[in-house]
Amino acid sequence: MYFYVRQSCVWQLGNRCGQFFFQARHISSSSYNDAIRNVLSDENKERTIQNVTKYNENINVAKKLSQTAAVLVALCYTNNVPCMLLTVRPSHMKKHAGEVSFPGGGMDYGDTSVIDTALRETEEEIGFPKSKVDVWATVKPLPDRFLQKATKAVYPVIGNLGHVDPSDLKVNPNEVEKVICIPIEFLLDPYNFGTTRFRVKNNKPSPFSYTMPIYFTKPHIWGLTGTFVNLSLMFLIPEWHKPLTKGRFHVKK
Amino acid sequence: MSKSIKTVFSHLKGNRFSQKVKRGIFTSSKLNQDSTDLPEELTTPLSQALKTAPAPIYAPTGSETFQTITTKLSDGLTVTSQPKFGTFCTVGILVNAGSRHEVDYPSGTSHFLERLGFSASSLYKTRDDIMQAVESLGGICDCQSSRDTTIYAASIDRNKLEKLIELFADVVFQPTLPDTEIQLAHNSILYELEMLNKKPDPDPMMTELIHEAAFRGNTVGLPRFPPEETLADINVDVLKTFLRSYYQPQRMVVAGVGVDHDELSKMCEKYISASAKSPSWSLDGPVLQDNSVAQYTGGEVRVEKSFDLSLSVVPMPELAHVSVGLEGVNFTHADFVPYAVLNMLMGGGGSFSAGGPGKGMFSRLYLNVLNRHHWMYAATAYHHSYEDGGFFCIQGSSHPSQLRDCVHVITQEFVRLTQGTNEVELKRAKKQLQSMLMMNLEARPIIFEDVGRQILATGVRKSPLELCDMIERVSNEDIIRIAGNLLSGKAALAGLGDLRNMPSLDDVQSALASTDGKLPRKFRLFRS
Repeated sequence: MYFYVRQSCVWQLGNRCGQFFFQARHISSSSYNDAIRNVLSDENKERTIQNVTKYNENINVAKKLSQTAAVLVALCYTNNVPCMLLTVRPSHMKKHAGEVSFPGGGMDYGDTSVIDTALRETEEEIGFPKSKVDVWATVKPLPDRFLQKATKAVYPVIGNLGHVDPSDLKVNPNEVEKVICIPIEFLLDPYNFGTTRFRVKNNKPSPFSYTMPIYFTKPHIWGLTGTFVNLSLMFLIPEWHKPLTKGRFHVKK
Repeated sequence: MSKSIKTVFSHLKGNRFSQKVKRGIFTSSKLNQDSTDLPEELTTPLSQALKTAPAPIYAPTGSETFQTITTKLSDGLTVTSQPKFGTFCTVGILVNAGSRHEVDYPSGTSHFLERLGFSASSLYKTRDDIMQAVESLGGICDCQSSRDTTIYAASIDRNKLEKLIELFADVVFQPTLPDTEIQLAHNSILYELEMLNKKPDPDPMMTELIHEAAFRGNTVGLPRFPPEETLADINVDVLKTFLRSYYQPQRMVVAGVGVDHDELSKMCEKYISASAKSPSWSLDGPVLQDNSVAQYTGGEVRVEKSFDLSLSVVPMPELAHVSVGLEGVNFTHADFVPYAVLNMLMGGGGSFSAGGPGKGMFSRLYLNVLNRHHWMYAATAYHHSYEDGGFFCIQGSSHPSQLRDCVHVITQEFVRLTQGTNEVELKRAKKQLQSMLMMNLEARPIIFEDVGRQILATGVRKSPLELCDMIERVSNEDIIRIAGNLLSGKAALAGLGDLRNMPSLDDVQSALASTDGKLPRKFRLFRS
């Protein structure tokens, strides 16, 4: 599987950001390993919260949407490696069958805040108790689809689940087929992700196009989930995160 | 009396040969006595070498290999060649540019360039001059573009290679793009679009639609044929920007079949690399290069259309076409060969004629679908596979009133795949695939395309024997496994024609996820 991944990412090396990334990696690999090891530490938690706050201050949500939803960008330790925890949707789901997503869902009447929604949905889907989740920050919402087709505003809530063993979790088979934990190191490696430019109108060239990241895990992580992964990595480890060449998710103030 | 006999045979006495023959016929037991008189050629048994004849020189086996040779030049251009016996050779340039790279350009730019291939350049004033030049080299030339590759190729006399490489270097890198040629290309594309719309053959349109449904809005899902409204946007500047962004030596492969590799390399260095350093579209200017990865999205595309049925003398059937697709794999994936076997297993075609034994009449779509349901006009399975993604689809045609049943039958066939195959069926599919592969690779232009595409996409060429081995190793477990992978993802649905009875994507998704593949029951009080 990795062979074709490398082939498609050879083009990325031509990008200046990619070259910088590789140079930096070779020069101080020990600091890279340290950064990875400390990504879920308290120090990094404070820094992430600051990054999110700064980001939230400087962007505007482009459109006000009627419905609200929240996802939990779940960080965890699996096999002593910092990972992101994602779920694979079962094939019998009507919408987004077989795709990868974070645990989350729509806001119910009983929820006091989006954080509540994220935690409740996590408990319902993968059986991880609300009390054990250490919530770090909430990012301003993104529309669930591009431009006119958007119906929901989705809030990513960054939270740390601590030490998790995926086989111990009691998943709900109606909503989740399986839980996958992807090491953060994997997601940072430029060999393991690419970008896809989507055209909104099939005939006209850009600016009617938007860019989204895609991560080459077993079922690919793409779409809104991929966007959340990219955004979270930007907050968690900004110095080792390779930004997308094009595409902006929020409108700058 | 004896005196007269003697005189009759007296003329024979003097002839030494006839005396020997006489003796040989009547005194065979004494042959060995007479062997010194017979010539050596008659007495040496065939198992021994003749002492007087020169020693034979046998052709050495194994001294000539038929391996594809690949080298890379200093500017990134890859040169590859496949040795083959013959007076003619096929040589061409393959460029990693196609309709999938058009996100920044009006759709149809690469199709336009395909029309302008082998037209006016710096050394050749018109297309006719080029055709004449190629004819004088002993052959023909052609330009072809697809979703991910553009190919400029020619088949000529082996000894005239140098002139051809010079011609290629000029035609590909120094086109003059005059207004007359652009206008001609524009008109020919308009005509082609008109023909596409008029003709009842659904295949080109359906391919576009199913790609759009499966890869919504990105790379491979972008339309290959320019829609009329964007055709006017394609002008010289757009073409030049496209050429500047994608026609770079590091994105190209020069492939040759039946040529000497060192000779080809030297000529490419001399002509093509030199020409690429200063192409006619000038290297300073905007470069809009897209490196997107193809992402399968699934989804639904419907095109309502009424076909003109009066085009032929015999009344044509009114048909609606539908295609159901699921995510497959790219061609470098380990499962690519099992998917190819699956494609052969499903087979299919038009209901008019299966073509006879050996042409797929025992494939599943014929046995289970076309032979059983008379109202199905066609059912074909395709596996479209690209460098970074692919999808497997089944396209069906029937009368518009039976479109729902048509989709029903297709989803049932998909779900039936999870039950596996029997030994005979699998063996047949594998044998057919192997024989189709070997038979096609006997033709030199196909060898050229195979070598060129493989080197362009992966850098290595898998030989036909290797591929046959991989095909042989496909087992029933592989088929069941990939069927499971297919059905676990999102579906893509495309429809063309009168689509009143076409089921929605949700229905198709639930059918594919169910155990029997049946569409959800629709209780209708009033039949429309």
